[in-house]
Amino acid sequence: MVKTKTVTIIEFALSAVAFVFGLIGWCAVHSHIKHNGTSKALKKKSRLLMVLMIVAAWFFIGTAITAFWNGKAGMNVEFSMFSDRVSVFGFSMAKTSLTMWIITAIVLVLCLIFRFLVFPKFDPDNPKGFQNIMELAIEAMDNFTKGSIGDYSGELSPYMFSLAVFMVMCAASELIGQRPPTSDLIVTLAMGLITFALINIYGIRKKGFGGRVKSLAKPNPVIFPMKVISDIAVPISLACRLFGNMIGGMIVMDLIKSVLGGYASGIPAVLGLYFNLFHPLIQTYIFIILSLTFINEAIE
Amino acid sequence: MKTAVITVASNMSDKTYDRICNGFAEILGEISFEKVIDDKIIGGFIAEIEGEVFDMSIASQIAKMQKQISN
Amino acid sequence: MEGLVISDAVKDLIINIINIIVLFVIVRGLAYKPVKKFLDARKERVANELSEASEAKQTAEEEALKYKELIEKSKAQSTELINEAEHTAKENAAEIIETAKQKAAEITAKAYQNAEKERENQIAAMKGDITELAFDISRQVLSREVTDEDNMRIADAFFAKYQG
Repeated sequence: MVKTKTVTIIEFALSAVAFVFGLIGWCAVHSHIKHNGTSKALKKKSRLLMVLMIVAAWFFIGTAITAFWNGKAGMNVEFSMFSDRVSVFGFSMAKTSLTMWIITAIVLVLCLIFRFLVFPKFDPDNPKGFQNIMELAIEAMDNFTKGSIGDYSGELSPYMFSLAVFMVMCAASELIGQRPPTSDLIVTLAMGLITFALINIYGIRKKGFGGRVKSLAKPNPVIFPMKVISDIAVPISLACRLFGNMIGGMIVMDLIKSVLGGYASGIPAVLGLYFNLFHPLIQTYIFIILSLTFINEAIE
Repeated sequence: MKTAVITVASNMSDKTYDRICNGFAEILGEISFEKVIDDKIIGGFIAEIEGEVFDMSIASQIAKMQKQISN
Repeated sequence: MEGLVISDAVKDLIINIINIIVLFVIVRGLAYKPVKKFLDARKERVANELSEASEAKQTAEEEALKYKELIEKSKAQSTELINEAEHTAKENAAEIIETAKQKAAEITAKAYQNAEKERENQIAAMKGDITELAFDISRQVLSREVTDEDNMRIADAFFAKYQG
């Protein structure tokens, strides 16, 4: 869509006027409120005017960006299932892997800071603030794993905790605009494989190798092949679920950004709150709970 | 010459008094007599001659009786 | 879509697995373990305090029981003592009363005796007085009645003795 100059100017003017109108009206109502107190009608009015102001501002800024910085709507967006590759020290790896290593580095720094600066200040009997949060988080994870498994939670809980940390950091990186590692199939496949390994390790530890294989033939040896297939399907399903959700979120955000073009100020941020923050957290929870359930199943 | 003091009561007649003096004179020889009247002896006489006392008064006899009764 | 090179994919997979494990070790060692130790220490401390507290409570209850028993015992003892004391006191009182009665009787008897003696004394005195009075009267009567004849008779009797 190509806009003529006149249209642009009209858009500018309209939005400016609307903004100013909203601003004046809102100030008037606000001062009235200060003098005489509020009533439902007045509150409604002030809210309405505020909304008008915000919308006008957005439109104004959007028009400006489109006009002066060549923001175009309806861009052609490309998505690749596997992320771009970068070369690091002459060694080519996926960009998401690089992001992952950066995340690890950041986590390392944070943990070092925590361990040597924050932790010694922990108050043994009276937790406050950040200490409280840390204690709550770890306790919650502990109780969670204990609830699901009961036996090996001592060893499993730290892994789940670090997995959760990892996924939260990935969501954060998505907020920044990078392609999150979790939207890379290779990464999620890695996570799934580790879970698969854990399932089998615990199963074999508990039942012995023969026992594990036997449990696959449990009710009826006829089911054996089906059970084997479903066991293999577990890590693959975990990986695909996570990958699909993450990449879906990423695609939606990119689409919105490209559709809005120059007007993409403010709106993606609000939507990003869901797609880039809330949604990944839900996926984290699901991933962990499923892993624990499968491990539990193997131990039973 | 010996002296004798004769104590009598006032109811003593001279006759009796002389009788007493004569009696003593007969026994003891020459005596000069002195008469003392004391009604307290009630009757009889007390003769004191040269240290010796002859008590024939009624009063002393009553006294003797009284003493006897008292003991 | 870009092509997928298998060797690249496998390389990446291995790199990712290593990455996750490294991350796991870091988080566990630096964050999870210290906090867990911390929490466990606190749980232990609380459990200790609780057990100590319950122990202390038990000890306190036992002591309270012992104390109560002691009080009961001493109460019983003191009641016994009081009873004994009362008993002794009653006995003593009876004794004292007896003695007092006896003494009173003695005193009364003595009083009677004294009164008797007094009476006798008085009677004797009276007798004495009467005798004296009688003799005085006799003296007075005699000093009135004695005649000179009596004097003569006395003199005669006296000299009769000396001459005879």
